[in-house]
Amino acid sequence: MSWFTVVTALWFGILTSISPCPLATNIAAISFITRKIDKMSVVLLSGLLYAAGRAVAYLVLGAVIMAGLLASGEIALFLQRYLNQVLGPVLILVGMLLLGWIGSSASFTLVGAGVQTRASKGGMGWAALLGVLFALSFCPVSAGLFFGVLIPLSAANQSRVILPLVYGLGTAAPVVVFALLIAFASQQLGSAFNRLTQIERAVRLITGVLFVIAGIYYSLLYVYELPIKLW
Amino acid sequence: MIHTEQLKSGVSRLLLGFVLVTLGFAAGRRTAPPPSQGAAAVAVHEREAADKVIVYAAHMTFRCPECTRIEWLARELLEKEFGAEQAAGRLEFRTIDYMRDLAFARKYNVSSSTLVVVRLVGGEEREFQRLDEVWTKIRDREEYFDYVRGAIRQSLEGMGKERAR
Repeated sequence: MSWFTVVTALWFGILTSISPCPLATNIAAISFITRKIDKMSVVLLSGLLYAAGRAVAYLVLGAVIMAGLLASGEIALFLQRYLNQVLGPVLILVGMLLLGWIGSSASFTLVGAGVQTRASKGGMGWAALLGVLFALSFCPVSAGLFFGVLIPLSAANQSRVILPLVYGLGTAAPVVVFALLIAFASQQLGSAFNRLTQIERAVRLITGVLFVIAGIYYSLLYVYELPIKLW
Repeated sequence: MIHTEQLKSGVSRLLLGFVLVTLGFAAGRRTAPPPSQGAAAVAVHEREAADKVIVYAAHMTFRCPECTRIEWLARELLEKEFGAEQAAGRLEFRTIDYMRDLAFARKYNVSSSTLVVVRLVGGEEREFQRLDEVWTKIRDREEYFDYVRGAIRQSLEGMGKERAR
């Protein structure tokens, strides 16, 4: 396998990420990664975990397909039919959790007590979970490039690990770079005006609202099939 | 302050209601019988009497700009370069929502919006090509045309050779 092939896989990942169709999830991911804007190390680690989550999801999926356990079409159909429909409600619930609207009372025990506190105050592992969830929520472009182009490329090069992994990192790269840029710029701005705490609070609020908006958008799109366009 | 709390509580309830209704709606649709169009499209083309090549533009229910471009560039190519074949009934263009037509999706192992070129001889399917590389060529019009043109010509020539036998 040549370096050219590895760079091609990386480029396909970047291409997936910068196309308009995963725009809503990318915005949600950027806002989630940057929600602890006062700590650059947390932002960086969240970004890396988000990228790792995406890479592992594609790696496992690629391994399952190339091992011949399932046909790529069957997996794609399953994920497009079911996961995309659950994505909207999940994003709304995560958004509400981040806003502190649910999860703080005893009545919300589905994912354990204090979940809201963990989600909003740190919980960098959530970034990895988010990476997995967003990677598996295939829109037409990501499905076309992953199942139609990357899997055949990996099969031709007998690469069950490297190419799906590099593709996954490519899909996360623009999101992580933007998140770091935003975090850096906000930190500079916050320090200059001595308003870092307020900015951090605002970012957390914006993150929750963006998740709710993205959730409603995906629900209308994939469940109610309303032809809404973000571009 | 009370108003803010009341507003927050009201919006929370609305959102939770929306989540429940959405999940219920999604589950209800999944348990409903599949649309009759389903396997029909595949069955219909299997019964085609004439020898022909069919170009399917398969798409997800949700259509992105690239998906629409895949279909429209293919349409443009067919109109420009394959008018005679279409007029003679040897070539046909069809669109299909593969999320609603699972028989089609499974038969051709379709995983995203793509083109599927199917060659029929005497009503029997002899060959199909799924043009997955449309995704890497969609940004270059000429490259895209070359790729799709090549696949269609190959199928038309294959049909001609079988007829001559």
